Amino acid sequence: MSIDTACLREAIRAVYGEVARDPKKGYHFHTGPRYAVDHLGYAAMDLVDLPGCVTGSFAGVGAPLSLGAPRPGETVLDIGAGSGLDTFLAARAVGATGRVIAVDMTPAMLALGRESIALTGLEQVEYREGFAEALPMPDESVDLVISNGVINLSPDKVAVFREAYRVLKPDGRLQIADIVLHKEIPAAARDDIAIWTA
Amino acid sequence: MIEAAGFVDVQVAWRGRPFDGATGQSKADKFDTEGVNIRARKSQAGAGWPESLRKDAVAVLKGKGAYPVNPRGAAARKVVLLYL
Repeated sequence: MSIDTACLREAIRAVYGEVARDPKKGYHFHTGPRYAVDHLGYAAMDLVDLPGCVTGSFAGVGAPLSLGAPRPGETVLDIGAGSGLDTFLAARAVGATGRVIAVDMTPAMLALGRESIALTGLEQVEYREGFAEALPMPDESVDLVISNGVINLSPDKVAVFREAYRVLKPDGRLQIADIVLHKEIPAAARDDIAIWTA
Repeated sequence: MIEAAGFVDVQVAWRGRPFDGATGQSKADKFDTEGVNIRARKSQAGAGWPESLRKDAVAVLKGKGAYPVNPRGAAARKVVLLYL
């Protein structure tokens, strides 16, 4: 595979930057809280108190926290947090004694997330710029790694899982939602950035 | 891929079709695309899932198009192998 990683990242930033700025514009994927509830099984009551800037730009593909809630005081890492729907749900669960580190590579999402920290008062959340393949976290510092609809966008998924393993404490948990394909994409198409982002 | 990184107890807990009704549905259908929830654990010798999470079946969601898979994760290997 010879995908140009820098070009791919730029294309992804462009798409999700637009999602951050204009979540209702209409994309090839669904966005927003109604989608999260109707398609993915999020509880409407859990989302009701979150600001629109958190829920409106949600573009996940599953519900990682349905696999187990974080415990009070734990440290959670959200890889590719975006506007932070899962991030802020996790922040509620870990409480003031816990931490949620939200890593994202899209400046508009980082800005949105930081704005939402102020709006929600959930100061246990910290947004950090970084890549899934090189997480800005020390070894064995995290109890739970979550991610939603992000790893499929990485050209080096092995590196993402190795990084998740590195930052997790022994017996730490990985809970991800993502997309999988049951039919092979032709080899030539794998080098087409449009296939990755569409 | 997840196991190769060192994780154990890989389980697929939910599968659904997040692109249904979106403009990207036809392309998603072309490659039989699914959304999945997957969990795994970093190994620690002798330790299993914490008691609070030690269930054969984790919560199966009821989103549109969602359907449960073998809660023991038997489908996980196949699904992950086909990860783009």
